[in-house]
Amino acid sequence: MSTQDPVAPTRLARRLGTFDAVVIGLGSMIGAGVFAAIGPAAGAAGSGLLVGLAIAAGVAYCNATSSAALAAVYPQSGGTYVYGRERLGPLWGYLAGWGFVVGKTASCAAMALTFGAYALPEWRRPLAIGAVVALTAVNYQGVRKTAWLTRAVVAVVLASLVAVVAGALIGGQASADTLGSLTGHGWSGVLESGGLLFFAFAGYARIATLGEEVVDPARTIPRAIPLALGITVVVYAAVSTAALLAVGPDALAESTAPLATAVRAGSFDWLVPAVRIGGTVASLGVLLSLIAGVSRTAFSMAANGDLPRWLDAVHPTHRVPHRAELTAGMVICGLVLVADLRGYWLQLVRGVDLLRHRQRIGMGAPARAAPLAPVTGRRRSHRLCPSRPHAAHRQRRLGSCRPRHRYSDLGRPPRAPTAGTATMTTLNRRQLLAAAAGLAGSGVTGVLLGNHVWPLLAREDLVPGRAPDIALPSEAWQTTDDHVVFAAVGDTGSGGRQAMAVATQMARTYEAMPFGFVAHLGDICYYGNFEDRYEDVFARPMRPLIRAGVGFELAIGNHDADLRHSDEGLAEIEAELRLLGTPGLYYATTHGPADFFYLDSSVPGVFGEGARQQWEWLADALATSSNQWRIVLLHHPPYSSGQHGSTPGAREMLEPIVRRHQVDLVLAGHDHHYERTHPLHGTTYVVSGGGCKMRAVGRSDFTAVAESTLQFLHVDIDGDQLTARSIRPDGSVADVFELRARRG
Amino acid sequence: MRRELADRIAPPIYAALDFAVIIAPALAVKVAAERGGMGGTEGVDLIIASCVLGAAHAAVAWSRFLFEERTAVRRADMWIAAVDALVVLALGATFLLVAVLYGFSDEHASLANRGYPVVALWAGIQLAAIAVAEVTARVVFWWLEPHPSRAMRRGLVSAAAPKPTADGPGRGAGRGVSEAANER
Repeated sequence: MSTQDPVAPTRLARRLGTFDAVVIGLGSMIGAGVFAAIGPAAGAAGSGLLVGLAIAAGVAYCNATSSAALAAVYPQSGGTYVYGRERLGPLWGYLAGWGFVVGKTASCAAMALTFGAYALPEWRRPLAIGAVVALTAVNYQGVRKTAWLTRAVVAVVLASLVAVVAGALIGGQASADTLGSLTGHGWSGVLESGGLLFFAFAGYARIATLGEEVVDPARTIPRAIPLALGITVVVYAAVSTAALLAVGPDALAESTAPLATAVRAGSFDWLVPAVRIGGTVASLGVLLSLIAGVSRTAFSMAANGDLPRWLDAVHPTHRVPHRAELTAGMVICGLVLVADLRGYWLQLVRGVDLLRHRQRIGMGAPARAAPLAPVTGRRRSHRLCPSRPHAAHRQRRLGSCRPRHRYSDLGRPPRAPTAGTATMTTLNRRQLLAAAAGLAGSGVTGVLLGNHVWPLLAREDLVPGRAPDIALPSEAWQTTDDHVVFAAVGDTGSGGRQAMAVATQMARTYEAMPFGFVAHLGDICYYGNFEDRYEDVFARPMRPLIRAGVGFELAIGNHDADLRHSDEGLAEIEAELRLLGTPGLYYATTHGPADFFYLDSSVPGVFGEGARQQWEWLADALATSSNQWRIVLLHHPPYSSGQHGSTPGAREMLEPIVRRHQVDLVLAGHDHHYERTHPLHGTTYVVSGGGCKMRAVGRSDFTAVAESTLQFLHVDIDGDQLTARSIRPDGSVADVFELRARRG
Repeated sequence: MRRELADRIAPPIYAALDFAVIIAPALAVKVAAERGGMGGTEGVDLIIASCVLGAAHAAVAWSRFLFEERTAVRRADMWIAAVDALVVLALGATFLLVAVLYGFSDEHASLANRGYPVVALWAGIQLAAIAVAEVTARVVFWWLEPHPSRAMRRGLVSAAAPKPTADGPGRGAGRGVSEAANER
């Protein structure tokens, strides 16, 4: 066994002392996470996020000390890549290196765009590219410049966080009453918050990634990593506690900028801009350290031939891996230009960290070759390893020459072949690449297909269907002053087989129990523009009913108004309503003994303060309604146990009006299932959103019946008696219920 | 003994996996139709189409596997190529379907309403995915396997090629590179 000399001369300059190493660690850890992660953590665990923070800190400490021990033994650039390669074998190093470079490059792009979005949302891409170029230029000038800039960034961020703590604690709003129980959300919530907050700590290993540039690494790195982690934990704990005391966990969970919310609640709201500046600068600090980390890992991989060897170059003056830095900067700029990865950032970082963690806990494992290594003849391996360089290169390509390994004194013996047994040879570069692609691909494929694509294929009704070809008797229904029959269906807009099956059953039901009109509960068109798809998603499926003279009335859905902020969107909605013969965005109609009130719940802010006019209209219309039955129809359900759930704010806006004016029935769509509530203050709420898709549905306190099924609702009102049936495509009945008119 | 057992059970397991990933999308659609209350025969046409394609390709994959077991210089190449091909097949057989059905929903819906057989579209897309996977399997295997250099092909260094060893190479592994290459 050989011991690597921890102070051996390296190609990069060792210029970072303990203070600089700690600052770089802080710059990596105290980033945008502290400004954003507290909100989701509070949502998961309430005040228990403090317990989650302690758990996350404990896990991070274990991982950090492992990193520190490895960094002391392998004081080279590359961090995880080097440790994986040295401790577990070239395949794992290769996978870890690629995972790190790909994941962190994506993180860089996401962080650059985060910076741009914080600073000037309209100019986020130019700003992001400017930030990448500027920070790459700073890194290029040498690691001392990187450290100096990180000091400035960390100072600004810490000052901003001090402002948060001060604003929250002495702004007059802090109270211990807001805390509540630490385990009120259960231990699963506490663990979830721990996971979220652990993500915010990711970055303590950045010091290890720069191991080749740290002075006396065997002493400096083991001191710097726990120190930086400890300071970060204290900062997180102080900020979280102050924010919880100021506004409580619920307000933090609901806020998109939890720290600003905590400060704004008190009398120091003038500090809010400082908080925003802190968040913006923090994202720059993380970006700076990420670019440095990616370039060092790429540099190390290039030295081993796992990336193009051209990247394995050190600037003669600045002593930095300048080609790797410039290449990383260019790739990040390219990513910023073509994609917005902010949504994927968290998942990417989590994936890489998981891999890194697995490798670290393998540190003390017994000697073991890569599982995929093939068993081949020992004699052949030895005979095919000539000493001439060009022949050796050729033989390595043939996979029969063992690459050179270095082993440390961590208790692991070198993997020398044992006489008399078959040996495990390592994979050559092509095999590594193909095996890594296969392994990564199978993991990604398994997760994607099992969790997303197969369920998506099942529920989204993408297989085109044939429209019903049924001749129906014209105007076979009878509407009188005390009798009306109608159908209600929502979310029919796919044009697929499931949509056609529901439409076909509607036509067959008309034959048996004719209805005079269809109340459409929104989302009449998915996957495209309504004008283009009108024939396929509406006219053809409903043609038998249209030919029979059945009318259609629409409550506008979110998919019907995807583009409503633009003129084009408004024109689309108007065209939609015109085609259906509907008079306005929200309106009332009368059929026999019932008045129908259609709302446009796709208006932005309709369940807040954004559309008072519509609610005033509804209250007035209900007040002047003199008919026996009152039915309100809208797309977004006030009560639902499905995937979308009860629409936030809908109950608060709708229920007082509904209760005051004795509405009998509220029909909604949006969630792709059928659900009926018990009468709530006299009103029954129904979700009838199974017009073409299905989603899982649970049960709530208010649920009387719930089923994930394709369906439509057939409603027969006769005098003061209402009978409704939820009918599946095969004609079976999912639910039947009867109501008595509240205005007897 | 272990290797013999692996040689015996690996091809059918691989063929079964191959079959499973091809019919999985059709099963997903069928199960959804059943759960949605669409009756017995809805979606059966897609399952039949996928089963036919899946069975045919499972047979092809099985025979490919047996062939590669006989000829591979390194057994790892065979396994790696097989895994890569299976991943490509799984992704292609589902993603390609979703992409085509979602991306061109206007066209398919119009055609379906004019009597266009949707099952042909379904089978065509899966056939394309199978073709890509099969090409992947063969190209990756070829790429991974050692090839004789020009000098070796001329016989200049064939004398240096190793002889088969007794300590457990695969059926092809352990033989001289030029020998194995010449057989192919």
